[in-house]
Amino acid sequence: MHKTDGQSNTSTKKRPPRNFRFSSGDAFIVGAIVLCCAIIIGGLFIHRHIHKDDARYVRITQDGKVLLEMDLREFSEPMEYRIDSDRGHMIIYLSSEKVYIKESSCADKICEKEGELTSPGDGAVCLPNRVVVQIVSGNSDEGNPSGKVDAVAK
Amino acid sequence: MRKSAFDIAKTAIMLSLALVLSILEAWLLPRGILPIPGFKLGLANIAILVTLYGVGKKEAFLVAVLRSLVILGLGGNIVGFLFSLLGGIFAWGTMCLLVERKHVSIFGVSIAGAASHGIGQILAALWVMRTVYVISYLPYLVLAGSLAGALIAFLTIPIVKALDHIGNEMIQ
Repeated sequence: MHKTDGQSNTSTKKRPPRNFRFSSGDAFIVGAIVLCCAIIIGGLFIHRHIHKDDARYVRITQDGKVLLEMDLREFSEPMEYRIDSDRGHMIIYLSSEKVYIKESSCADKICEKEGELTSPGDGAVCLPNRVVVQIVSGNSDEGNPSGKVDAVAK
Repeated sequence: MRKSAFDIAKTAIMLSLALVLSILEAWLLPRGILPIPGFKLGLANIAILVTLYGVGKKEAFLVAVLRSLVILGLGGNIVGFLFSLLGGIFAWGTMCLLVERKHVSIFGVSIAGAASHGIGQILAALWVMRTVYVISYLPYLVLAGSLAGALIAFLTIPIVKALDHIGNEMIQ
């Protein structure tokens, strides 16, 4: 540990090479990234293909009580489900493709911002109305994604 | 450990550049327009790359972490902070591994950094959202990020050259 006059470090420090042209290693990196992405996309595609016939259910609960549980395939045409309670009202859009909260009387509208729910595991929660809307899979292993509905047993 | 005033100045300027670019990006690319949630150009990575090439690894880490912290302090939310922090640390680690390789240019460093940034963000999303479905975003986030990474490298080159030039003049 000796003191220097403050500037000497800059010139002696090892700097990374100034390689500003696309080089062989870069091509390898790009190739590896594209290959990995292709594998993941392929895997997801196969996964979706295997599970495409799995039933998707929409489950709407209020205060832990199930108000509605239906197979999405049963909605031959879109419908709107209305919830009226002393806390307020909500309108939930239901179709065979997607589910979303169209309107809510609550102040923060966080549930509306959740957007479209399409895949098992998606969900929207409205705390002021105590309403949970979620998509669950027909497969019983995944059917209870986060344990949120444990209280619904009876 | 002693540092030259020039290095300290460069790091400080790059931190402020990173902040300005982060804010600029938040202005330019409002959410909802982009097809992939969470996708960004990563303009702030220009500043981190310049620090990595022009000053050093530790300083680049400082710029990456402090940028996330200051953005949080300026009114960001904690989830956004977690995303950018994890993404930034992943990108920094990967770029450090590659920056001294002879056959890897600044393009490879930036592209690999951008790809790692996407992986870091997906890990943060896994943790925050607690659902594996976010993985389906990963390939798109990484591919789009790699394209952005090449653009970022292109924009970084003149800055590194200019800083080298200033440094050489100071030594003479």
